[in-house]
Amino acid sequence: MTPKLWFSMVFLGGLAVLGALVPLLPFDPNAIDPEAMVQPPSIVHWFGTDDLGRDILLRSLYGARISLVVGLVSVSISLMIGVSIGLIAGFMGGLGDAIIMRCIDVMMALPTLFLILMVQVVLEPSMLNVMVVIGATSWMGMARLVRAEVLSIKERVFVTACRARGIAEKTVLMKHILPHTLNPVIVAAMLGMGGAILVESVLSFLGLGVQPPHASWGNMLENSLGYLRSAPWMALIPGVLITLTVLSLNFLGDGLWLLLDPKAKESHVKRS
Amino acid sequence: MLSVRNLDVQFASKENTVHAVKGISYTISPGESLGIVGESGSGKSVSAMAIMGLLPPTATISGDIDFNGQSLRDLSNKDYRRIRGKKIGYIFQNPLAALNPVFTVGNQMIETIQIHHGVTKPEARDLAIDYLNKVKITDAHQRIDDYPHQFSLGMCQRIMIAMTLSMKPELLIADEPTASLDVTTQKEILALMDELTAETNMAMMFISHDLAVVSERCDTVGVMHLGTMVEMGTPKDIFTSPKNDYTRTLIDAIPKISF
Repeated sequence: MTPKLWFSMVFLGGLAVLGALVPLLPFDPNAIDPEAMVQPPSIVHWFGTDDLGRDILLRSLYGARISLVVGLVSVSISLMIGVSIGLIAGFMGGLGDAIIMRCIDVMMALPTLFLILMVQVVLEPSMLNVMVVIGATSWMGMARLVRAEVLSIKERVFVTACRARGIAEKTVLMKHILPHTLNPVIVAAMLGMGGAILVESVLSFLGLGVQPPHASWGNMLENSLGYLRSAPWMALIPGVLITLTVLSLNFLGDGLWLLLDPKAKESHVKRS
Repeated sequence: MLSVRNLDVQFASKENTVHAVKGISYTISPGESLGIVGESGSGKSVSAMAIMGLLPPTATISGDIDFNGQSLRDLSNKDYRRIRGKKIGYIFQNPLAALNPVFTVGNQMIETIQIHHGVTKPEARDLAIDYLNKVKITDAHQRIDDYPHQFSLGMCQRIMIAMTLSMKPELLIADEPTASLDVTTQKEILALMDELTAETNMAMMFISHDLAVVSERCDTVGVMHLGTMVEMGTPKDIFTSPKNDYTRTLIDAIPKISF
């Protein structure tokens, strides 16, 4: 357990707990207070208020809910697609594998953000759309990772031994090969979650994600544009939160990789 | 029971074709044991894997493999699964590699027993413990929940034997079952196998590079060299009047202790 891992776990855990509990408080994040517009951080409003007098701390926590949910759901979608396709491609091998991998190459060449923007413009901008589109356009790396693992695992003697005991192909793949691919998948999922949160922020910033008056870090940033000089806290707070969250997820991915992969630990020790 | 006729296996790659097995034939009757001896790369294991139908797709196979009057080569994958394990058991050279490291040995034994005997999980567990006791694993009821890496190589091979025998196969293919073990463990495992096969009267195909080990326990011995069966006969014939140069080399390779 490195300090980086501790930091990221505490930060993300705290954010998740606060995000989960904040709706229980008797405060409305969208309540406008004309008396307290664009106020700097104070005892009443710890993170200050925005141009409509809304409390930034409260809105940040509601934004955390959005970011974490988007991260979790879109990564789950990309995990489901990526792991299944990677398993199938790796296990089939041969022509089927080649066809799937070339399709993945094509998918990877598509400009993902542009695709997401198009979907959001053509369809109604909605959270569900954001999550589905991010999930559906970010599974390729996962699929490649799983395929590579399966290709090496399926050559191991115990896989042949399973077949020699009359175990069905499906069971060999799902029960005996799948668990061996999970370590790199968990790490990639953490990194993917950071990526998904960034994409959601970008979308909300562009006005194509979470719609006002609902709070998300992206649209809070967008909101702050006109006040960068007079009220820098309005931009700083969501900006720092996005940075710390994505950083924590990357640290967590790194830390888990070190914890889960014994070979990684060796090379890490050698390096330092 | 098992008859292999003109079995021929080639592995094709882009650059060249490897002719691993060149038209070998043999039969094994119920209760009989056939030993196959040869050096690494002589095609012993490949021919055994061909019987199991587990050669990689790059292999081109020709010839007939009949098991109990049924041509194994015509079987669908589904029907083949009923033969593998249940009718023909296979013991691998490296027992630690043949066990999945992420599951306990009990988990893997129970899975295997349930597939072939259609019993409930607790019944399968009891059976698994019985078989672990048979192969003399001490504290079997506790050790069944241990992972493969918690056992020594010799113990792992006992577990593999227990797992294979728990399916009650009619034919046991032992592919160099003692090659990765040290001499004393080798002796124990061989004694155990002799004891258990004698008990069940199952047929056996014993693959080894050690002519002495094979001759001690097989009714017939076949000597393979570079993919062909150069000589076949009773151990006595092979030892007393070897017809082939390679067989003579093998006999000379058996260490003799003189003081």
